[in-house]
Amino acid sequence: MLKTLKKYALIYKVFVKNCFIAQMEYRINFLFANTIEIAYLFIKLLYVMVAFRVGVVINGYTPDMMMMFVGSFTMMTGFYCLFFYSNFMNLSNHVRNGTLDLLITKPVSLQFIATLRNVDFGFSFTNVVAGAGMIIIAWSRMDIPVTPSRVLVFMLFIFLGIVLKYAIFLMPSLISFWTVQTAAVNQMSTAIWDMNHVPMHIYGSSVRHVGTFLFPVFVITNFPPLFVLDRLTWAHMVWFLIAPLLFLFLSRKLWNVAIRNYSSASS
Amino acid sequence: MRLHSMYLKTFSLGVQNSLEYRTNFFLNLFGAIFPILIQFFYWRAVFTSSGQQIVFGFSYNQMIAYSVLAVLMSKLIGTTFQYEIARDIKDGGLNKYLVKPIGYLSYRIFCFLGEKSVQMLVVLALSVIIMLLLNAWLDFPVNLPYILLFLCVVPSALMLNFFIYYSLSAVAFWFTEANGAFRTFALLANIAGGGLFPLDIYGPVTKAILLALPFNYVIYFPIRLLSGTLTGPEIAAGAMMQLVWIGVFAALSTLLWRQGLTKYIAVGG
Repeated sequence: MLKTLKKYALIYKVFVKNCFIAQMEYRINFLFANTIEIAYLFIKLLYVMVAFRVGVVINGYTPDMMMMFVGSFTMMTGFYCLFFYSNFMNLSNHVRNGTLDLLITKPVSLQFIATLRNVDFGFSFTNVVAGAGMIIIAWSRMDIPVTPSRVLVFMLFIFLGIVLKYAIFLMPSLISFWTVQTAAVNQMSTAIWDMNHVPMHIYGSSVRHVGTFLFPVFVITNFPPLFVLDRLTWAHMVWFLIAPLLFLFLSRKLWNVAIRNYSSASS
Repeated sequence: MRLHSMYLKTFSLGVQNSLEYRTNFFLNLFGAIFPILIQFFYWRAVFTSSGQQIVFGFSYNQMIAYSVLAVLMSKLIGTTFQYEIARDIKDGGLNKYLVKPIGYLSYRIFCFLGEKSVQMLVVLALSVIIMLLLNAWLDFPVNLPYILLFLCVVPSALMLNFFIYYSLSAVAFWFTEANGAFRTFALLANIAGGGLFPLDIYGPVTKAILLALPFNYVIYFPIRLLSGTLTGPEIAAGAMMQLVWIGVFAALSTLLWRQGLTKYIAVGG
């Protein structure tokens, strides 16, 4: 078990290095990827700005708290683009062009190489840095004590969020094994993800429950800051520990079903 | 081929194009539900929490109506031809138009109008339904004269947006990879035009700057007109400014394209 993990860690390190070298070669693309993300960041900041300009407590959230939630959303978007986004988008290309054949022959797990092969630095850099910045600024403005336990659990929650994000958002991409074209599905899942532009408590209770339990997109970006603000209930905390495992299991099952539908396109 | 039938053909090409990719269009429209949901819940929370009747000069129902219409309007005027033009320039697809008896500009305009005419019917029908719903639900004022005036300025907004992006597309003559710049520009132009939030949320200086830019005549002005918050002279001035900006960008695009074509290397012979 440990040996396998070590092997995969080593392979992943090679992937990261390889992607970094490849992307540094196309510096202009890297630059433009960043300008696009800065424009998106601007949109996220507008939501915070409106909260500050109105200057009232919105559904129990002060403008500083809003900034922390938007920061968490920004950072998670960054991590998603860094590790998963380009892989998930590529999946339908692999299915359409039959290039998955090549990956099947590799002596590693197919799901591993098909969904984690690319690491995208261009689209993620701005978001991770700006998101972390917003969280830190909000944290210090609210005078929340910086204790090791709080910081560690926060980081653990961010990690759990990344795992959960992988599990949830892989599933819509897997539809490509049946439909080949997934542009519309991907657009839809991005639109749902974007509902995290504002804290989950802004929404009505039915929308909130769907986003917490059925398709837990709110969990990913809301629970880490909720924990820092001491507003996370025990029940929610337990759910945050279970959900990544549960959805990872479900997405793995779906992967196994989906892969049976693969009919090598070219040969 | 007679002149007008040539343009009619191009127009119908655009119509056919939009009918062919109708699923895409409807899914795109359906995707608009989510930004509308965000805006709706966000403003509802802001208004109930602040306890004020008026926020940023908008009443609650005006703000909701603005947000919904702004999302629809951005969908309606949105352009994608700049990516096609960039590809034509990069891969040498422009060659075939250079020898055809139709100008590239007029080809693009009529194709664009054809494509938009179908979408416009759908979006406008949807807007009317939504306005009637808002009227029943939130007492949003529905005035026939304003609707008619709105219908008069929408074509100008469409043409203005066309010329802005047609000018922008000339950038592809100088940079082969222009898509990143296009996307960044589109996002910022949408914000500056009031496609996300009304321009009134900004401070007076920022708002004045944004009002001096052409983008607000594409989204902000038509919607303000429709909500009945503009006076007669303001409407006249706005409509005039639309025409002025169309002229400016038409001139700019001619200039840029003339310069750009000297750089064109007709890849692929």
